[in-house]
Amino acid sequence: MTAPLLEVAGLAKTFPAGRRRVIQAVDGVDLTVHAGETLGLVGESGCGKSTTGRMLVRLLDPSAGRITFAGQDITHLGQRRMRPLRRELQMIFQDPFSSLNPRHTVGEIIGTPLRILRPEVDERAAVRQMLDRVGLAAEHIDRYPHQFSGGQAQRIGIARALITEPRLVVADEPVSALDVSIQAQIINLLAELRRDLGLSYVFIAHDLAVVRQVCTRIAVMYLGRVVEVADREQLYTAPAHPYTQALLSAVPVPDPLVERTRTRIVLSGDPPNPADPPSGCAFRPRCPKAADLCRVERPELVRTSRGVVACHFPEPAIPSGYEGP
Amino acid sequence: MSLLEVRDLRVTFTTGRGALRAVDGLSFTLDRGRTLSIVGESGSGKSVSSLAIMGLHRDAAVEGSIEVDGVQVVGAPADQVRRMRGRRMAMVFQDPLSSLHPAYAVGEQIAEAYRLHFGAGRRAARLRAAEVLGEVGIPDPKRRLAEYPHQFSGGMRQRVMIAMALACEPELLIADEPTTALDVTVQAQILELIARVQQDHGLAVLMITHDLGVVARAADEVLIMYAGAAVEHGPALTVFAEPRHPYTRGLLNCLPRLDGDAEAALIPIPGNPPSLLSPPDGCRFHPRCAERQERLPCAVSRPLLPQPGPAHRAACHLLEETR
Repeated sequence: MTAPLLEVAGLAKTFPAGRRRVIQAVDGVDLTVHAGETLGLVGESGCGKSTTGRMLVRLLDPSAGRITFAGQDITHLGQRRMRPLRRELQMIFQDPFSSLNPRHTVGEIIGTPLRILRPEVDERAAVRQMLDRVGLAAEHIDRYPHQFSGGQAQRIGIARALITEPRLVVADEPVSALDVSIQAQIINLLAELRRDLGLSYVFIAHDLAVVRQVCTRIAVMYLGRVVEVADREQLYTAPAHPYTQALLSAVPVPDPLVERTRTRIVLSGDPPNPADPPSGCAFRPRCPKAADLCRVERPELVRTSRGVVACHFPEPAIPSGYEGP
Repeated sequence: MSLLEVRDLRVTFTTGRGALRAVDGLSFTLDRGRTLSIVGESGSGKSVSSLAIMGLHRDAAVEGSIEVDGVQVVGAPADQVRRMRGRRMAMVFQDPLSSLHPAYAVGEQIAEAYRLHFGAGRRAARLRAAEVLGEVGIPDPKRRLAEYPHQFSGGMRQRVMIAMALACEPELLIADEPTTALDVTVQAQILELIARVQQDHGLAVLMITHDLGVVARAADEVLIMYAGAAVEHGPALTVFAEPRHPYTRGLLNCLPRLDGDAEAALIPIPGNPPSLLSPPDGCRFHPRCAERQERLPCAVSRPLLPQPGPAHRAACHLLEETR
C-alpha cells in the first residue's frame, strides 16, 4: 500500500480557559487520509472536529502530536517553509459569506491565493476557468459576494480553495448553512471535483446522512477523541461503538413509515463539557452499557475483531449479509 | 371548529426596495391533539406565518384571518392579543439562549407569565414553575429555579423554554425550529418531550421546520411552503409516500438519507429560490421546475391550493389538468 497522503498521530489542542484552567478540545487524535479518499470527521458540537480540521491545515498550532503530509513532518514548519505547502492543503468553510471578504470582487478573492502561491499562472484566465468549473458564469468575476446567493457564495469558496490545485482539501461543514435544495448541488459538485481533479477531502460534518453520501471512510469523534473509525458500509450497517449506534439511531429518516417503526436509542443528558470531562470513558455518563471498568480506565482506539473502536464493550460483529436496520 | 383557523393570511413588509409579501394567501386549520408541520426553506414564509399567529409582527401589514379558539388575532387590540399569548397560545423558538433573559433566574422567567395571566402570588407562581420544570424532565426542579440560563446546557435550556410555554396551560403550541440549534442526540430527546406534553395536554402543535426528517418523526399533517405560499398540504404519510407537487418531489429527491443509495448521486433542484421583491409570474416554482409543461400556463398563471379541497392537495397546473 502506498504511503498515506496525510497522517496524524497523537494530535492534541488545549485552549486556556482562565484561572490556569485549560480546555482539552482535542485529546490525542490519530488519523490517516489516503490519496483520493474522502475521510469524514463527524461528531456533535464541541467534539473537537473543527479544531482538528484547522490543525490539519496548520491554521491552528497543535499543543501536541505530529502531522505528516506527503511524507513530510509539517507540525512545526514556520510560515515561510509552510508556504509552498499551502498550495497543496486548502480549506472550505461553513459560512460562505463570513469567509469571503465583502470588499473584494470574486476575481480578487479567487485570484489572491494564486498570485501568492502560483505567480507564474495567468491569474484572470485561471479564475475565469475555475468559475466555470464550479458552475458560475465567468462574467461574475467582477461582482462582489453580496450579489450572490448562499449556494453561489459557497461555490466561490470552493473555487478559492481549488485554484491552487491542492491535493487535500479540508471542508468544515461546507453544506450545513445551505438550504436542502442547494445542499445537494454542492454535494454533487464536491464529488465531481474530487473525481475530476483527483482530490482528497477531509469532510467535517454533524449530519450523518450527508456524511454517508460524501465519505468513503468515517471517523466518529466524542469529546476530543476519535471513538470509532470504519469504512462507510461498516459504520452505517454495523456500528461498533455505543455512541455511533445512538448517533445513527437519533438521525431522523425523511419517511414517516420508517420513522414510526424504527427502534431508537435515545441517550439521556447532553454531550459533556470539555472543561470538566468525566473520568474514564468520556461517553460513560450517557452510555447504556457503562460498567465499573469504564469509570476508571479510558478505552484506547484499537483494532478489534469488531473494527477500530475505543470501547471496553464494543458491539458484537454482525454476521455478513445483514442488510442493516 | 378547529382550534386554529388561518384563512388567506398575507404578511407584507415595507422595505427600501418596495413591498415584500413574505406570506401570500396561506390557509389551514389545526385541531387539538394534532401536529401540523410547516416545512420550507429559508425565505419560504414559514416563520413569518408563525409570528403572525402569535400576533408578534410590529412592522408588517398582516391581513386575512387568524382565529385561535374562535378569537380573531388579526387586527385585534394589542392588549387582547397579549392576553391570548402565553395563555391560549405559546411559542418555543429555535435558540433558547437568545430567547431567555440572561440576567433573570429561570424560575422567575417561568413564573412571570403565570402571575400575569392567573393573578397568582409569588409563592403559587414559584410552585407552578417548579411543577412545569419537573414535567419537562429537569431533575431537582425546585433547586434549579434559582439558576440562570447559562447554567443549563443547550438541551436543558430548550426544556426550560418548553416549561415556560406550558406554564399557563395553552392549547396551541407553536414550535419554530425547536431542535435546529441542538445536537442530534439531544434533538431526539426534545422531540420525544414535545410529543409527550402534547399527548398529556391534548395540545395542538404547529411545528415549523426545514428538516423533513423531523417532520417524518413528529407530524400528523404537513404543509409545504415555497416562496410565501403553500404548495402542498396533506397527511404526512401520504405526502411523503405520494408527493404531488414537483417541489415536494424535488425536496425528497435531493435529500441524502441514511437508508438511501449512497452510491447514487443526489438529484438537486436547479437554481435558487426567487426574490420575493420580484417573484416570477405564474407558478413561483416554474423557473426551477423539472416537470413544467409548455402546454400548461405555468409561466403565466399562478396555481392555488384548492380551498376547500381534498385532504391531500397541491397547487400545480399538472394536477388541475387531470382533475
